[in-house]
Amino acid sequence: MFEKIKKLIEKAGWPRIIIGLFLLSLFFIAPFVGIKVSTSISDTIVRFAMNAVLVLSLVPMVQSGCGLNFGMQLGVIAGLIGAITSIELGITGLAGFLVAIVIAIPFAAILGFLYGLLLNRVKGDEMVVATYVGFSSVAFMSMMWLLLPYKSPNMIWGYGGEGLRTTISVEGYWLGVLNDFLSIKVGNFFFPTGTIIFFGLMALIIWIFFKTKLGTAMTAAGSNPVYARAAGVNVDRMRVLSVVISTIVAAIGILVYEQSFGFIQLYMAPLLMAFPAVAALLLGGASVSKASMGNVIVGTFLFQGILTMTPSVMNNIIKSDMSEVIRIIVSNGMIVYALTRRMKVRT
Amino acid sequence: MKDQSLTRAKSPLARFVISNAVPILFIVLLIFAIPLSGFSTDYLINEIITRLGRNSFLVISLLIPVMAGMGLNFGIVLGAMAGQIGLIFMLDWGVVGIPGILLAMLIGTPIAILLGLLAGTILNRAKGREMVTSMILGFFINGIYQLTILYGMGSLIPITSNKILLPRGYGVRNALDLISVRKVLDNMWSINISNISIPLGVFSIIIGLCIFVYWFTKTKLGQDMRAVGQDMQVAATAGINVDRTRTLSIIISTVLACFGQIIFLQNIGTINTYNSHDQVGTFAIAALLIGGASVVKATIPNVFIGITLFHLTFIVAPRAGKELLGQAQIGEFFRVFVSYGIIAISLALYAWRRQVEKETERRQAKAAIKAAIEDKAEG
Amino acid sequence: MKRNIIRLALVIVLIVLGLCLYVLGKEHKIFVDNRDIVINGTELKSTNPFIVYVDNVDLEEVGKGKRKVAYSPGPWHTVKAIEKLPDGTTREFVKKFTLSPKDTAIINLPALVSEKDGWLKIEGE
Repeated sequence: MFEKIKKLIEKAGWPRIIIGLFLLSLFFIAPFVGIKVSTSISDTIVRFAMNAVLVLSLVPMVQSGCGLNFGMQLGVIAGLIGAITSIELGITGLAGFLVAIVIAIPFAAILGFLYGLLLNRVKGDEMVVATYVGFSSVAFMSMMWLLLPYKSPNMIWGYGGEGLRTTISVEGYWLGVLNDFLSIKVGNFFFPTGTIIFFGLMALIIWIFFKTKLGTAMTAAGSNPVYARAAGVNVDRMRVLSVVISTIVAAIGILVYEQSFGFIQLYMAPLLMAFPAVAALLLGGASVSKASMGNVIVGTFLFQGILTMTPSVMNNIIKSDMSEVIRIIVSNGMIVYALTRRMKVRT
Repeated sequence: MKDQSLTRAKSPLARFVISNAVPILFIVLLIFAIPLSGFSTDYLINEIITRLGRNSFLVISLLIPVMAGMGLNFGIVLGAMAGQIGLIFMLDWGVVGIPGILLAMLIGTPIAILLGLLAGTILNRAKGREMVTSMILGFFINGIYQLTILYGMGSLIPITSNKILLPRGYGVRNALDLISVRKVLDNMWSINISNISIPLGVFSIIIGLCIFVYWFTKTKLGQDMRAVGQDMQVAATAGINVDRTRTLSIIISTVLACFGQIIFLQNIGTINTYNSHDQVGTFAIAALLIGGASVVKATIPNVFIGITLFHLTFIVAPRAGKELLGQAQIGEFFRVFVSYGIIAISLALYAWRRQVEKETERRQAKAAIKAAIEDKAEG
Repeated sequence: MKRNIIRLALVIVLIVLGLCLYVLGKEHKIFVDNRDIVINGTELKSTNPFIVYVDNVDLEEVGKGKRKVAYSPGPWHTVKAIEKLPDGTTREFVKKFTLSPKDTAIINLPALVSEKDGWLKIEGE
C-alpha cells in the first residue's frame, strides 16, 4: 500500500504535490474568509481556458528537443498583428476573430521558420538564445507599433498622436466570442463553453498530429536524434517544423487570451509572457524534453488556480496583496527546479 | 565550411575586425548618432566618466565566472539584492558617510556569500544550462527578496526607522533616500580638469579591483578556475574539485556584485527598493558584450570599452531617435532593443560557434577512425 | 583545526570592524538652544544671539529663544559658539564633548558661556 503511494508521489513529483495541496487548502479556506467557492472555481476555469492554448503551444518544441520556448513572444507578436489588422479592417464578431487568426498564421509561419533556422544553429543553448531573441523582438516591435501605418481611431493615440495605443479594447469587435458561445451561467458561476471547446479542438489536433508518422518522427528527433537520423528522419527539418507549429499555436493562443481578457496589449506587455506559460507546463509535470496534453491541462489548471485563489484568499487573511510575489516565486521556482533535473545525455 | 574560413582570414586587419566586430559596429553607429543627438562633448564626457565610476565594479564582477566556464552570470542580481539589504540596515541604524558605506558592505557580504553559495550549488546541478538557470534563479530570488522586504522587514526582521518603513508598520518604502551617503566615495577625492570632474576616489577603488582580479588569475585558485573553464573533465582528472571551484567563482562574483551595487547606489543617491536591482544583470552583461567579450572570454578592457559604448548609446539614442524619426519614444525602445539584442546576438554567435566546433570535432574523429581502420585493413 | 581558528579570528575581526564603523559613523542629533535655563536653582537668561558651529556644520545664527539642530556623525564633537554682544563685539567659546552611538545631545548656549557645568545634556535611547 505504502509502496503504491510512494510510487505515485515519485511519478507526480514533489513540487506538484505541494502546490496541489496548497491549492486545495486555499479552496477549503475560501468560504471561511468570505469568498464564494462558485466564483473562485468559475474564475479559475475562465483563466484556464484563456491561457491553455498558450501553454499548449510549448509542447511541439519540447517534444522535438528544442527545449522550453522562451521565445514564445514571436508567436504572440504574430497574433497581435493579426488582431490589430482585423480591427483596422473593422470586422466584428466571430468573423473578426477568425480573420485575426487567418492574418496571424502567415506571420507566425514566417517568424517561426526564421526562428527555427536560428535555433538549429545553436543546438544545446536554445533556451537562453530564445529568451533574448524573444525580448529583443518585443523591444523591436515596440518601435514598430509607433511607426506602422494603422489608422483606426479605436487604436491610435487621440488628439493627433502618432502610433498605436498601449492597450486597445476589443469590445464591440470580438470580445468574448468564444467565452460566450454556448456558455453556461448559473448564478455566479460562469462556464466559458466556447473557449473550452476551442481549446479541446486545438489539443485534439496536436494530439492527433503526434500520433501520425510525422508527429512520431518529431518526437524521435527530440528524444534521440542519433537514432532518428539513422532511421531516416531529417532532425533539422523536424525541429524547424516544430518551431513553426509552436509559433502558430502561440499566435492563436494570444488571440484566445485577448477575446477573454478584453484587451490587446502592445509595446512591452508581452515581454515576460513566456515565463508563466513555461511554469504552467512544468507544473503539470513536463520536463525540458518531454511534454504531453495532460501536462498542459493539469499544469495550466494548477497555475491559474494559484493565481486566482491566492489574491482573494491571502488578501483577506493578511490584508495585503501578496499575489504578485507568490506568482514570481512559484513560477520561477518551478522553472529552476525543472532546469536542475538530471537530463539524459544527448549526443 | 563558412565559419572555418572566417577564423582563418589571412590579413591581420580582417581578423581584427571580425573578432572585434561588435564594438566596431557600435562605434560606427555612434559616429552617426552622436552628432544627430546634439549633445555637447563636455556633457557626454562628464556623463561617461560618471557612469564608468558607477558601473565598472558591477561589470568587473562578471569576469570571474566567465573565466571558470560558467558563462555570463545573470545571477549578479543576487549580489545586488544583498547590497541593498546592507544599505537598508545602514540607513536604519543611522550610520552615515564612508563608515556607512563600509558597514553596508560588511552586512551585505555574508548575505551575498550565502546567496552565491545557493546559486553555485544550483548551477552545478544544471551544467550546460548555466545561463538560463542563473537568469531564472535571479527572478526567483527576486521573488523571495520582495517577500522579505515587503513583509519581513519591520515584523520578523528588526527594522525600526519610520523613514524606511511603510506607514502600516512593516514593509519597506519603495524609494529610500541615500542623501546621508550620497557620493561619499566620489567626493572622497575628486579633481577637476577644465569643466570635467573626475571622481578619483571611486576610480582608485576600481583600479584596486582590477589589480585584485589580475592578481587572482595568477593564484592557484585562479588557475584552477581557468582549467575548469577550459575543460571540466581534464581539470577533474588533474585533481581539481570542479564543483567547489565553480561554486567559489560564483560566490566571488556575487560578493563583488554586492559591493558594486552599493557603489552604484551611492552615486545615484536613491534606492528604488523594489526595482533598482532589476536590470543589473541585463545592463552589465550587455555592456560587457558590447565591449567585445564573449561567453568564454572576457577581459578588463572589454569592461571599460563596453560601458563607454553602451552608455553612450543609451544617452544618445532617444534624442537621435527623435531627430531621425520624430519620436523620442522610439529612441527609448531602441536602447532596450539594443541591450537585449546584443545579448541575443552574442549568445547566438557563441552557441553557433560551439556547435560548429563540436561538429568539426566529430567529423575529425570519424575521419581519424576511418583512416585507422583503412590502415589496419592495408597493414 | 588551524583553518577554523583563522576563520574564527577573521569573523571576530570583521565583527569588531563592524562595531567600530557603527560607532564612527552613527549620526547624532545635536540640538543647540539659545533659551533660558535653570541650573542648580539659578536661572540663566538668554540675552544675545550666537553664531554656532558644530563640527563641520555651520548653524549660522541662533537667535534669542531659538533652537537649531545639527547632524554630525561619530563619537567626538566640538561646538564653537560666537556670542554677538549688543555693542558689536564678539566673544568666542569652544567646547568638546563625547557621545555614545545612541545618544542625542542638547546644548544650552547661555549655560555654555557662563562657564558652568550643565550646558550639555545627553539623552541616551
